[in-house]
Parts: sequence; C-alpha cells; structure tokens
Amino acid sequence: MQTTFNSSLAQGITLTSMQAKQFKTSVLSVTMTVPLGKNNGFAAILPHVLLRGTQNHPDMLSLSRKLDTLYGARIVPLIRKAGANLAIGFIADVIDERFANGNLTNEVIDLLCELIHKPALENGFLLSEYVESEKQNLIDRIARLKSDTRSYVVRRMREIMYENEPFGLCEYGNVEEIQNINPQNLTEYLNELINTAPMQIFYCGSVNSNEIENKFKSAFSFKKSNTKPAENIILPAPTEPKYITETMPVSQGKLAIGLRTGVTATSNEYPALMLFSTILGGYTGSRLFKHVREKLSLCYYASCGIDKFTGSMTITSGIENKNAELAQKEILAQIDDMKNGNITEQELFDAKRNILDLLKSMNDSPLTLESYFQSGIMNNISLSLDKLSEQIDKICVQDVIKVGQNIKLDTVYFMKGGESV
Amino acid sequence: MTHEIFDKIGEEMYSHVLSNGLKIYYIPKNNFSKTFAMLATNFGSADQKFQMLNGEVLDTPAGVAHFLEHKMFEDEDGNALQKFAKTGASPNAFTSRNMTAYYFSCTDNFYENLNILTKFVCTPYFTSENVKKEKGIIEQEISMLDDDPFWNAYTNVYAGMYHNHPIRISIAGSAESIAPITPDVLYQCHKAFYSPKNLVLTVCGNADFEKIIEIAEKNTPKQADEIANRFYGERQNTVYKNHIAVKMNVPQPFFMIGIKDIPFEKNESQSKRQLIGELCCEILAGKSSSLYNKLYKNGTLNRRFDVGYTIHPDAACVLFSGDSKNPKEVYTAILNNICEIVKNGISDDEFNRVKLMHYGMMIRSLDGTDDLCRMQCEAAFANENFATSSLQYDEITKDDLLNMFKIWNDENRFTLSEVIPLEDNQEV
Repeated sequence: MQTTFNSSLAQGITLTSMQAKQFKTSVLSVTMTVPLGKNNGFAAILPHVLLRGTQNHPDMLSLSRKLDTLYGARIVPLIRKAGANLAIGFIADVIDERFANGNLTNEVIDLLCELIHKPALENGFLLSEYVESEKQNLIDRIARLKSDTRSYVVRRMREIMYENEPFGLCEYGNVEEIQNINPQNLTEYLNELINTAPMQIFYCGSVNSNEIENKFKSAFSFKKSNTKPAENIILPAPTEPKYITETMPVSQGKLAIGLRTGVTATSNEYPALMLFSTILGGYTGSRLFKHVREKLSLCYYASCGIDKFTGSMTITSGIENKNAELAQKEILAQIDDMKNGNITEQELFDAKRNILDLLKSMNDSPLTLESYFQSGIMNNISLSLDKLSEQIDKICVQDVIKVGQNIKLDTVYFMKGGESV
Repeated sequence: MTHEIFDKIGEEMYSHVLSNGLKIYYIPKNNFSKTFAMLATNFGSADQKFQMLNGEVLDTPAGVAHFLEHKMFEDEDGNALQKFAKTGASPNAFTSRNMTAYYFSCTDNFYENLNILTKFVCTPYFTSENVKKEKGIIEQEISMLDDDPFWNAYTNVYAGMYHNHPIRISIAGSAESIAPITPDVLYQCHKAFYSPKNLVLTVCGNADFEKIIEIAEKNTPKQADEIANRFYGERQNTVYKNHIAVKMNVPQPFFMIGIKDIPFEKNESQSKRQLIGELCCEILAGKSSSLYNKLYKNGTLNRRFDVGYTIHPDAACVLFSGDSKNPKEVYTAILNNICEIVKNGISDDEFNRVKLMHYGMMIRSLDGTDDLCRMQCEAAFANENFATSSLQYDEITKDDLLNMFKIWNDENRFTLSEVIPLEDNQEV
C-alpha cells in the first residue's frame, strides 16, 4: 500500500501527498470546500472563470500554450459533491522530470496558485466577458444533464429522496441563481472562499513528500479563518417509500432505487455494508448480475453502489418499460432474501476477494487515489485503505445480515421511455 | 524469447511467438499492485464480409462480432464471468470496429485467471438456447446506445463518410440485425478469426513470462486455422453524405465532423501515420489552437470539444466532436483553417510546441496497464510495438503534416453528423 503523508500547511490548508516512483505522471489537485447550499452555482462557475485567464496569462490561448511547453500538462476544473459538501478547484497532471527538461512540477504548482490568487481582473473584478460566457456554459451544462439518461436517473432519484437535505441539491446550482452572478458578486465570493473555505491539496507522484510540502507551503501559505466542513446529518427513511414515475422521450426505461442504510464511512458497520452491496450488485458474481441480467435476461446492467458520506444505497438498471415491475420485484426480493439471512459463506468469500482486489488496485491509479482521499478530507474524515481492507477481512456472514436488516427502502424512481424518436 | 529495452521512455518488453502463431508480450510493471492481461483478436465489427478457406463467402449480420464477444464467456462447464468472480479478478471485454478484446485485472491468483482467459477465448460453446437468451441482454444494450447522443453522432458520421465499408454500421448492430444470429454463424466467425494466428496476448504488471507462455501454449490449439479473407468494399475518395442529422432528447446540438483520409496501406507504418494524424489534429483544432480558442471565446464551443485521428482496416479518418449551438460554424472554421495551413504552412514554433505536448501525452499513457495492453495488441496487429511511435518524433517533418493537410483540404471528404433537439425545426 502507498504511504500517505498528511500535513497542515497553514490554518485551514491540508496537504495529502504520496510519493510513488512507479508512475511517469504526477497528479495534483487543489480544492476549496463549501457546504452545499444556495451558492452552488457561484462555487461551480468559479474554476471555469478562473481558467479563462490569469494576470500573467490573460486568456485561454496563452494558458494552453504555456501548458504545451510543460509537455502537455493538464489543468482542468474540478467540481466535487460529496456528502453535504461541495469542493471546487483544479486537478492537474504532469509528466515526470525524468522524461523532460525543466522543473515541471514546480511550474504546475505555481500555475495552480496563480489561477486562484492572481486571476485576470478589470477594475478589481473578474472579467465581465469571462463571467458572462461561463454563466452560459454552466446553464447549458445543467440543461445537458438530462441527455445522459443513465446518470440522470440517479441524479433525479436522489433529488427526490433528499428533497429536504443538502445532498439532494445540484452541484452546479440552478439557472435562476446563475443568472444573478456578476463580476462584482463573484469576485467577492472568490475572496470569501480564499479567506474562509478549507483548502485541500493533493499530490501523488515521484517527488518526495518533504520537497512537495515545501513547494506548496511557499505557494499556498495563506492562513484561513477556522471554518469546518458541513456535518453530514443522517435522516431516517420515510415510513412509506416514495414511488415516482416520469416519462422521457427515450427508448429505454431506467429504474433507480434509493435506500437508506444509516451507515456511513465512519460507522463500525461500514465494511459489512460494503460487503452487502457487493454481494447484492457490486460485480459480475453478484445477485443482480446473475439473476436480473443472466437468468431473466431483463437488462444489460443492474448494479448497486453505496455513498459512504450519506449512507445511501442506489440500485440502477436499464430495462424495457414493460419489464419495470418484474425487475423491481426481483431486485427487492433479492434484498429481502439477504435480509432474511440467506447469505452463504461462499458469497461472502467471493465478495471479499472482489473488494480487497479493487482496494489494492486503487494504488495503481493516482486519479482514483485523489478522489478517494480528497472526498474524505473535504468531509473531515480520514480514510485508510489498509485499515478498511483489514476490517473487511474480519467480517462474518452474521455482520452482513445484521447491517442489511437496517436498510430501508426510500425512493423507487422509474423513468419511463416515451414515444420512440 | 526476445527482451527489448526502451530506455527513452523507461519501459521494457518480453515477446515470444508460439509455433501456432500466437503472439505473446509481457510488459513488466514491478511496483504496481495489479496485473492486467488482454487477449485480443484482429476481428472487429468491420470484418462483416469474408471468405472462408473452403471458398464460401459469408455476409454476416451486423453486430455479429459484438454478439460473439458476449457469447464467448459461455462454456460447457459454466460462464467464465462467474469463474473470474470467484478469483477476485475484474473481467470485461469490448468490441470495436477493428478488434475484439477480452481482459481481466487482478492483484492475486494471476495464473489461475490467465488460465480462465486463454481457455474461454479458444473454446466456443454456443447453443440455440444460450444464443436466444443473450439476445434479450444485447437488445437492452442496443436500446441504451440508441438513447446516447454521442453514440448516434458517432455511428452516423461513419455512415456519412463511407459508401459501403462495413464501418458505416453500428458496432452492436440493431435489434433487427441480431435477430437472425444462430450458433452456426458464431462458430463460423470463431473459426475464421479466433485462430491463434489472429490473436495477441499482452500482460502488463507482475508475472513470470515463462509461466505466461506455458499457460498460453496449454490452452490454445496446436493447429492454427488460416485467417479468412475480408472484404471492405470498393474504395471511394469522397464521402457518401455530407450531412446527417437526427433528432433526440438534447437541449442543444451535439455534433461530429469527420474528414475521410486516404485508407491506411498494408505496407505503411501504422504508428507513423497515427502520429502524423494526431499532430495535425492538435495543430488544426487542439486546445492550444487559435481555431478552438476563437470558437470558445465566441460561445460556439465549450470544454467538451475533442479531436482525434483513427485508423481502421482499409480506412482512416479524423473526428471532431462537441456541443455547439451552431455546428455548421465549426465545420466552416475547420475547412477554412485547413485551407490556411496549406497556404501558409506551419511555423517551427508551433510544430515544436505541439510535438512537445504530444510527447507528454504519450508518456502519460504509459502509466495505465490497461492502456498499455491495448496499445500493444493494436501495434502487434500491425507488426509493430507500443514503443515504436515514441522513437518517431525526430523523424517526422512539417512536410509530413502538410502532405496530410493537403488531402484533408477537400470538402468532398467532409461529413457533418448532428444530433439536434426534438423541437428543432430543421428537417431530418
């Protein structure tokens, strides 16, 4: 397993770094966290506006050409919703100095700092041209969410399930809010984030952790006020599940089922919940794959996943309209069967192997590690892969059945395919 | 056994060819946790029409290569996916226009998994019943693709560029085209293209090469069938249709623009053609091109714009894709920009900057064991290796690029494929 190195660069700024010499490319990210709420649009637009230009590189063309000279280093906007929080910033990757001339990593760190602290300004405010054009891009992006039906049904189901909780909000905000953005209020919002929002920095690559810490310290040593990320408050499931069907002009119907487990990443029962979800629908050996796809031939995909911050479990499948009820019945029957104690030692053994393999594989992907650690830190949770693997190994069938018994159905959402087009 | 060291990019590779023709490669990644293995056949959705060795010419249903991919997992003693599920491995497969590949990754039990992989790909087992059952699953996969704007634009751009080449048909086929598929036609395809002579096995991670060879030798047939002869139709310089539009549930148009390049010739270097193509793409419309920045600035393009170069059997093309309120403006800008480049040439500054950027992209691709295996399988089909292109940056000249731009400088080679909103008034 990779050794992670955590440090605090200044009040409110944390660095997670991992020295990994096996990679030829380093991954870096810098994000600031705010609670999900009425300013999501302000937060989501920021990295896009900032990437339009800095004081030294006043437009996208000059920024892109600078990145070309850094051997095609990439810096892209990052908008991450996790639990009750929203992190915004940038994620970058750059090739190792072993294969290039110059100190590329340092240059990328300087650029990241420049993007946040030295944006292009006119009369002290972000450029009106950039703000207006990114407002339109963000509004277009929200409109486009519906076109990707497979992810849209999960989004829509969560919106219904979490209608009274921050997790149900769209991380891109809403059109009305975005229309109110102007260079003045966006610049104020940026300054507020810089002064108050906790900042998380991540590095995974060949440079050793001390060097990285020193470099980031010199670039990002701004003391922040002592703010904390929003707490994840877990509500119980409603007494009666919600059943919602909506129609869209597409050919395939899509089912999304949301359940509440009451268990999050910080609970002792979390490893058992991971196993429950894996046995149910986490891999090709799972019940949903074997029964809903292979045995009944109802779908191409039927899978289950958990959200470790809210403790929600989501099952999705793409099916023909006429099979919706049959699929739903079979999925719920499988859950009940597991809750009733019908989980075999073999099922548990296979699922353990599968999860342990996936956890170990994460070490081969700096991008996966970035997302895993940064989403934890933005919720004030430290997650060790080693510890999690050890805990999973110790789980017995009874633990999985027990965690299952507290899982409650919350929302069944079916997006019905409308007239074919 | 051959051992090559590619100092410049910090990689090495072992290779061996079995007496039955199977090519085997191993790229060590000692400090990685997982090992990835890919067994690929040089047989994709484009290989629809072919002649068996007995002289029989087969025109197979659209989507048969992809159907075969699904059905290969089935064996007499159970489904290979379920065998992998017991070892902790993550298996999968894909079918492209060019190839079909089966793969897994794992952190443990590697040889057991390699045994499963090599066995099931070489053992066809199709029954009327299991073929019928799979139709339900694949129909839902096709239905999912039918709802995907990207897939529609992607399939249509090929349907526009090519007159009769099978790459103009969707990889998965349609519910109608897969309906007549029988065990017989699957067996015929397997016989024609799953011969060890047509297969490449690549492993990347931590393994013992001798053991890899031993397992491959045990599980692949001693006698290899000759590979069937394929037909891609008569070549045409111009596109079949300049414009194709379909209406879907999108808020604004999604487009693909294709430029039909001259087909890839068998005696050409695939990696060199690919590299020249990609450099041209970057100069023409990459993130640091004036074209992209101008169209982004005026709101015609956003960050989802992409451009790439692709080689297929007896074909090659450039594809641009993105969201735009006005795809025709993008189309015209590309056409005009090519004309400008042909007229004014490429500056040294631009040429060197883009080469540097591209070199960085190539280095970046070496960290993914899955990407490396795919690159090596594709390279091996063209008798090259994944590192070949890394050695060609110094060889390529501005003239190589200009020669390619001259071919692209012809509107008769252009197709615009659009997916437009349902409420759009444009007739389709």
